[in-house]
Amino acid sequence: MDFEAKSYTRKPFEFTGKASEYFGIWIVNIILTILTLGIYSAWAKVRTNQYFYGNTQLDGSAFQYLATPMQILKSRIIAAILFTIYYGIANVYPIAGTGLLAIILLLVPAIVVLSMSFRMRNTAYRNVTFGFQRDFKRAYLIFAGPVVASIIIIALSVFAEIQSAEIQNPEAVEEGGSGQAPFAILAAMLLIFLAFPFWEFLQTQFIINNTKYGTSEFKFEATAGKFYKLYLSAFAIAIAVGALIAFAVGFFSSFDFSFDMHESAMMIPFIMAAGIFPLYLWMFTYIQTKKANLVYNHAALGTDSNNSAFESRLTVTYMFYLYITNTLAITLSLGLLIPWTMVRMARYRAQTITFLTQTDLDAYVADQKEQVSAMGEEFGDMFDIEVGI
Amino acid sequence: MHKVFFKIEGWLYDGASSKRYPISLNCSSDGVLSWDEPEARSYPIGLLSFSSRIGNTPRFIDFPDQYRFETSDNNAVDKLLNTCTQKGHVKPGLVDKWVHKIESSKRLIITSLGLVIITCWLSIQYGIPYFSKQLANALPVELATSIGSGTLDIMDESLMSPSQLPEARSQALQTIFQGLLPKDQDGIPLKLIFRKSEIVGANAFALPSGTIIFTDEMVELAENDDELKTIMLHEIGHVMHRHSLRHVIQQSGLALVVLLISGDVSGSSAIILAIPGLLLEASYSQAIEFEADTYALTNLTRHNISPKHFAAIMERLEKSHQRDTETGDPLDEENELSKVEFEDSERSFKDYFSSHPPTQARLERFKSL
Repeated sequence: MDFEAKSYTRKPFEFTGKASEYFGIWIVNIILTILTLGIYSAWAKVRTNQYFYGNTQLDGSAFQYLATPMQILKSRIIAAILFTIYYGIANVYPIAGTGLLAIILLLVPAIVVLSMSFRMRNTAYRNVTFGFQRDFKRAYLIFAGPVVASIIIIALSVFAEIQSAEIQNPEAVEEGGSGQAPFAILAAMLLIFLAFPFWEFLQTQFIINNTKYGTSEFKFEATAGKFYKLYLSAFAIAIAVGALIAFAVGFFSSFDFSFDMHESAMMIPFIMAAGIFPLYLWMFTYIQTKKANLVYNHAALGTDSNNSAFESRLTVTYMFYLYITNTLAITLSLGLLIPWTMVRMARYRAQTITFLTQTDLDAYVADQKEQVSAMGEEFGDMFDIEVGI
Repeated sequence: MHKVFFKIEGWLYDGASSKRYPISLNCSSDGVLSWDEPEARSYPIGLLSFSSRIGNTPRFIDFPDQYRFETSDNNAVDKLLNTCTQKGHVKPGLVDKWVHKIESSKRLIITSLGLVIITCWLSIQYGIPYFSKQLANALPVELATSIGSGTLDIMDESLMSPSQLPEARSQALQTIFQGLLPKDQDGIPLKLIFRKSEIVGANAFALPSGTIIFTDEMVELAENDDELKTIMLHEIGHVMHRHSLRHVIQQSGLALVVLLISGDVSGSSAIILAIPGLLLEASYSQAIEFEADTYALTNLTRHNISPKHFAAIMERLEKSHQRDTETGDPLDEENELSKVEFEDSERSFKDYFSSHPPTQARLERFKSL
């Protein structure tokens, strides 16, 4: 976006929630959920969302979460029953469980579309609700790649398992055809790895382009190249740091001849673990943070005459600091600091996002209101399907 | 005209666009709300819907004709609702009426916190083990024996090779095993098989299907058959008490408790939630071992075998695994005995050394008799 050419007015987002205040809501949610044997969880979800939406403000007006507890409760009960059945079957008959998993994979695109639709329909700002175009066809087209790939991998691994189970004598494996299966899996994995940034670009584009605020449409203006650049730089940094760790390991093990050999050999895995775990976490943070910035910085809202954009200024170091301290806080407090971590994360997110608009925020026209079932979202939650951007 | 009781400042939205109007909402004493700008409107309070109070987040009042009013003056809205409730103009729901009062009272928050801690502790300590035991015994026996039906194949493939015990020796042990079987087998086909495994070393485990595996190394470690009998009984105990099924149910129960507490946390990582699971897993395993021990103890006396044999072979086992540990993997200082890989690949069978070394307390039970 060329921010200089057009004159944008900067409207910062703001988060006004307080950890101490949210703690009360959170703990009451838990105890009432326990006392009502889970029924209150629907109210708990609504109150939590209302708290975080209501405290997110733009230009003095708050966001609003509109879903009702009853909607959530109904879908949650059905999703819970389905999940229990699946969990039971998967535990007792692992092979049948794998088959069910394949069926669930086939439902993923529909779940993503339905839950985005539900989420957007139940988000409002200034009495204008968001919306999501339910384009199932395109969703299936985009998700077909990874779904087909996953099914192939599952099939291959099941096939390999059956093959090697048939061969009682382990020496026969070399002659048998099962030696090819791991290779096929490896090749499929490599292909997925290479196609992943492009697929993620398509997914992000799909979600943003189908999102509406009233009748105004969001547009995603980034290219797939940006996603490749992001992963490539993360990969390059990881290799550089990994080489450094390897060097340190080599350095230590060649250095202390004076020590007992036994002891110096013992050090190596510790150095590896001490270096690799933070590296992994940092990689994760790097990708998450840069991706969030990329997505927001290339999202536009509205038409050419009234175009608005976002600016996201998350930094990797601060996000890394937040992740580490949040993890420590939750672990050391046995979960009691969860509300604090949620509030500080929301505050940082809001602080770093600015809405850039050419006019005031009065001109967005509302769309027809319609009801969307919570089923997609609750089903997705149960099966831990990540939705959104 | 209605007499204006008080005013609430806020934004009015007409629902057609995102345009907002700063207005004063006039509240009359007879429960009518009205405004003059941009066009004058008035509605009786009974037709409106009020958003629930959540902390100090803005309140929303929905009017007919798509109008919505947003205000951060929570106290004024509460005052209006209280007055109109007393006069009978509105009837607030249960949640709207009470939950904010609980959420904002220090005393009730602390009470809730205490209740949550007590409930979690009780359910983890007593509730989950009790209910999973009941449920495991109530479920059909076919379910209990069908868990992880492929386990033996996986183990044969990766960890074990055919037994090299002399035929006469294994026959003799089979006869001993038959003599130890309970009268009522509950429909579970109990079976003893032998395997050689240098990776596993001296060990024995029970599969949910009723198959009990002894490694050749285990048979060789025993100084007499009575020692092997004690181990056989311990393993039969695992099968008869359906420990594998109970394990699956317990893990699901734990996951449910963790889910309840963490709720809709999306920011925290899965690792955090995995830690308590691992800790509790160890504690549950100990309880399960204790029960298998009890089964062995009860039946040992019935077969006139001294319980001291169990303590003796367990101590020897511990030493043998310690030796393995020292020569094999110097890093395993935790001395978790044979913490072998197959535990990860297959969780539905009980290996009685892995997560629970023979503690002194456990052995004392057998020595003291």
